[in-house]
Amino acid sequence: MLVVLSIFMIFADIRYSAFSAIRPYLTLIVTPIQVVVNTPQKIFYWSSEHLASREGLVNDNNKLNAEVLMLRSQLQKLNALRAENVRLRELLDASQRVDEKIVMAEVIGFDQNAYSHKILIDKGFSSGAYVGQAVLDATGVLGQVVETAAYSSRVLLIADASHFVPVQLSRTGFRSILSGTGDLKKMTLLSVPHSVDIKKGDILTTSGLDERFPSGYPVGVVRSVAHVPGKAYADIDVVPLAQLGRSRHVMLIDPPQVER
Amino acid sequence: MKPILVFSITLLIALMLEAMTFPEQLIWYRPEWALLVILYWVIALPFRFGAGLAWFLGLMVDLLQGGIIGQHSLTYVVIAYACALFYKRLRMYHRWQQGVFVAALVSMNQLVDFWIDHYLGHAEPTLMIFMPAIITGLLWPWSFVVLRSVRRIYAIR
Repeated sequence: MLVVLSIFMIFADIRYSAFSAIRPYLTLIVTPIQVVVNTPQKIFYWSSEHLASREGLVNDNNKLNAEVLMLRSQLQKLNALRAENVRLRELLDASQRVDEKIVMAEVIGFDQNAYSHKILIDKGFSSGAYVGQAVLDATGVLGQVVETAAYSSRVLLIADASHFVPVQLSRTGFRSILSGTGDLKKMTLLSVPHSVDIKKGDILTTSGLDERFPSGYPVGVVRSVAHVPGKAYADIDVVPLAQLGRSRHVMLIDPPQVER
Repeated sequence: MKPILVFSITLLIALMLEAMTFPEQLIWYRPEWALLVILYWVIALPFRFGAGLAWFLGLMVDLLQGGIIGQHSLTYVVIAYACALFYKRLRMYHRWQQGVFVAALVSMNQLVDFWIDHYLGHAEPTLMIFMPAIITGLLWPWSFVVLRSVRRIYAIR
């Protein structure tokens, strides 16, 4: 009986996504378990934050002040550039870009499944997260939300074997698709002809063609380019820039509303 | 404490262990905590706990791990049923022999898991899928001792 029911449930879930409506509420049952399991880590972080020495805090403060100063000076330049960009876009009569909305979230767990790479974050649909939302960390694109509950969401990492991101080579503007391999430190660029100008150290940014990941965010850097004779395309190895599997704070990003 | 409460706490601990983050490099060496606990209760009290309990716990594990709903329910039910069939023989075995039997049952679980993931297209065939079964079998004697003392102290019948 139960076996038949289980098989029926598996097929209902895979073929027809029958549980997508009630799954967020079912997940609510196990959310307390996840919270309890995450508590020791929280205590550890809390204590390392609150039990720091005065000297260490002063040092941190100095370092951060210096960094703020540097970023401020860069920001001044950026403001001027942005204004110029808007003017030029107006001249070109092109669509105008609006700033993306950002929600901060904390990583509360990693998926215990050897076949997939997902992380658990502490913001759910009650904070505005939705399936398909892009997730970044401080250094690059991390992944996208694949499942939301009220107070938690699952994020599929870009290095998962079933994940693809449309990207653009920032040096030449060449567009391609970046595919995960299942290895957190390795991704591959698909269908790149041998004649394309691409070399080690090139940075790949999101192209925004999928209308899911906002364009212009760094995704990865080319580690190696191999031209194997007899193969139709070049083998291109890419290292993701985001701290996959190590970042603690992540950002949920809303795609920009394009005004036409 | 009431026996049923203690029993629920053992299940809750198993689920918490399932939800705990395991280091990325050691992911293949993760024991199947929930199965360890279910199998103990099915062998110890086969007339009280069986496929229904296994099904429920499997569902919880699916929700915790964000997998396909029903995947772990299916494997846990099959294993709990197999265990309930053999419980008399199992009780005669030495604890390490039981461990081998448990490892065989868990490798069934791993196979079905792998089939489903392979069908969905995100699993590559590797012999490492049987590693959790071996680890679980090695852990069995200890979890057996712990759970048996829990059962005797709180007189769970």
